[in-house]
Amino acid sequence: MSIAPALKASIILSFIAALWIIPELGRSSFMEMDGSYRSPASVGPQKEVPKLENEAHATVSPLWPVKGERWIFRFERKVSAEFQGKSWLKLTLGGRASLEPTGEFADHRFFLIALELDRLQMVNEGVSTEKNEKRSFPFVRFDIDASGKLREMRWVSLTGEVKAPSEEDSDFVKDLVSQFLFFENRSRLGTAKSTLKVLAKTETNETLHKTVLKYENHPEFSNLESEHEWVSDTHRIQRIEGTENYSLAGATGSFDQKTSYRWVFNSSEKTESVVTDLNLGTVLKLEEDISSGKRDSERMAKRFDLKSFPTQWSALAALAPHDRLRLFGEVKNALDGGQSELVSVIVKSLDGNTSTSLEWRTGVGVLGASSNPVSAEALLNLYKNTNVEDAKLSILAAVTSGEGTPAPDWKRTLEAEVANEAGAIHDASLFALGSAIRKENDSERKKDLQTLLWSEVRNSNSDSSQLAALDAIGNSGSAEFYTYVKERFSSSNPSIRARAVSAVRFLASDLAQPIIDTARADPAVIVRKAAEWSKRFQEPATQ
Amino acid sequence: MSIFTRNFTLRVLTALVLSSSTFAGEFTEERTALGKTNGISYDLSPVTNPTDTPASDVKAGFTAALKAILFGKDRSVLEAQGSVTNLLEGETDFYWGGFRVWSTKPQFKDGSFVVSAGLPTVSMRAPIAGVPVGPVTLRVDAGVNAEAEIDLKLTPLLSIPIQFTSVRGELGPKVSASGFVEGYAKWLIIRAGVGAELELVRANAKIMGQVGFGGMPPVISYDGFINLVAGKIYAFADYFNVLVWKWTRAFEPIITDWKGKCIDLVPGGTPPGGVACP
Repeated sequence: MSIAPALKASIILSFIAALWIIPELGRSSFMEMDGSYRSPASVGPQKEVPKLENEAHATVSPLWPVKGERWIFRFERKVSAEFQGKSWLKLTLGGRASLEPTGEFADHRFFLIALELDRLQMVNEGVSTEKNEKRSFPFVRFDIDASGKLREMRWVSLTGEVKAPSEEDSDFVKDLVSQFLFFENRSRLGTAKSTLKVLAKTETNETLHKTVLKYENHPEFSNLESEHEWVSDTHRIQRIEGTENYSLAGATGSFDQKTSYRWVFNSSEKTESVVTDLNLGTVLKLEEDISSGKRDSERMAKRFDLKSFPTQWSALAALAPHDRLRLFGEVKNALDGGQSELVSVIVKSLDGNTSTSLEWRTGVGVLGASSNPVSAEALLNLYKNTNVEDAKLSILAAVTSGEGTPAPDWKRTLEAEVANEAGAIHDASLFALGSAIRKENDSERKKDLQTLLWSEVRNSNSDSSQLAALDAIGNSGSAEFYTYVKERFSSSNPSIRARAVSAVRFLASDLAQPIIDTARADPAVIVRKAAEWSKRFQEPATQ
Repeated sequence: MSIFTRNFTLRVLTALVLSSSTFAGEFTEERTALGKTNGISYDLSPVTNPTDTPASDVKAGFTAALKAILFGKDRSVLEAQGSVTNLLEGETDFYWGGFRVWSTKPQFKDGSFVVSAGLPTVSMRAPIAGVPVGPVTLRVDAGVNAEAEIDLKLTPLLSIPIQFTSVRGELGPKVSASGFVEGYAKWLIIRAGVGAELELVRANAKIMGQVGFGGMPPVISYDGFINLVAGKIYAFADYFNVLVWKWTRAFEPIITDWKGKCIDLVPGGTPPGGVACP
């Protein structure tokens, strides 16, 4: 085994334990006597390390504990929150952490960490409560890959029993995991922009300092101070500590959260093979990569029980409209959250239903509304497998009005449909093509779709075909066609002018506003009405 | 193509075009939450042909328009129009969720143009600015989920002189729209969220009557019901209580709690609202 990955893994794991501070080992360098917080050591020679992520760091730190050895650490973690400058909540946790190897399999190396709290203090709005009783947590098992990165994490109860964690336990573990990632640009708070410096390095000791500059998915943070320090000798990590303070600006005042942690090596023990061969089971797998940047609301998306979902979904027509729309929203969110298994149930529910039935409208609607690619693919297959014009029109309407990105192969299908003579399917395909341009994220595919629409636009010679082309352009929200729209806006036909001003509704205001403003003074009422309608879409995305 | 062809040119003089704004049936309900307007506007009206409408564009028929306002954001959910041109051709025009979706020609069946259109349920999402919840401010997504089914029937009634030709028919949209508000965040020891149970509109209302190309004023009536804006918007903030090792509620403000407003429509007019909706 090469030393660098192992060292990195050791560093990472050590950082977990650095959640906690041990008061018995002396006052943390992060906390002043008055309980205020300051940054870790920022003195001494500093050498910039240019890149954090996935970089092998040559350190003096040793391996993980070897078989038969257990490392013991003391830890403490402090969190406080102030609102409008007044103390709102203070938490202090302290205890012991032990770390030992539990075996290897192929390129999997397993380590087990046990946490035991023996100090709990909370001050909530002036009321102080203290509990110094011992509180143990299930073992946390880490699966480390050959490169020293955390592959996954599972929990097992103290009795070896396999059980799912509660939400708050899971949060607790995620909090641990975020501390795991000292050499990666991510933490429990998301992807971070960080710098790493070598403060001191000798043959036997090394001190690293990390500063998190910004969390990309937390623009609401202000006054972020996130400093972390790692100290090792030739045997192991000796100390990891850090502070992370930030403010959340609110309408009625600032909410300031201050946190610190410290983990200090205490002792090592020789162990008999106490847990080495423990069957750890599949207790907890991280639900999602914490660096994925998913919104919390998406994480909160309800997941449906697959056993009861078919019954629930098949009864949607009997629901009151508001309840049906709520179910629609929940299923959409579940699909967006990755529960693709629902798609086959939804598709099956469409069998035998006409396009005007509630089952069809809700089912096709949710497939078109979801960002799940399996949903998008199912909608396309549904279209290919039907010859009923009303069903085709309904599916095209779902592709057009739905929030989901259409499956890539829609381009070929729409191309074939718009090549046919004018008619309902032709026009609906053109509208779907426009909408697909708006929703396509892949630049190459977007360009292909725009090229296809351009060919249709150029072939639009009659008033009716120009109206349809302008509608498709309007659906696209693409500035690519702006010149054409402007040209059509000077038409003598008020219907064409009206459709041209409608076509700028999704454009940026610097392009759309001049046309809308001109249209508001147009002599034709239908043009003025179209201007008002278009203006409605021009409101800023956020207020 | 209908049995009425372009050869059957029934042009209407622009000067005779009727402005039927006085017959417009717009049902609007707005409420304020967090200083922003929320509400719905639902319009069931005869097609209006403004006085400057070119003769070639004159139409007779009905329109349905639904717009939602959520936290000050004004969005078109539905724009539907079914009409007969003065060439006696049937036309429909559908915008759904802000997108043009159809230009289907109505079927001509037993002397009437008919359309029965089921629109796929749609979700329209828009982020809104921070919502204060206790000590923190949340970024929140809000939007509208909506479903609609539209039945249209238009029967041309030929008359002499030609400008007195009219169209008898009805437009019956079944429309429902619910607002959603989703916001959730966790910052180590505090978590907060905002949610909503917001029924913006539930309507099974029909506009019917006789509308002309200009020779006579429209005669219209309504039937059915429209229920507008009921529900609540709520919020919560929790802190993590290490002593009991679970989240504990710190704030639970109900931002708003609205009773719905029901408008019961009977043929021949719009009675006062306030009655219980089905």
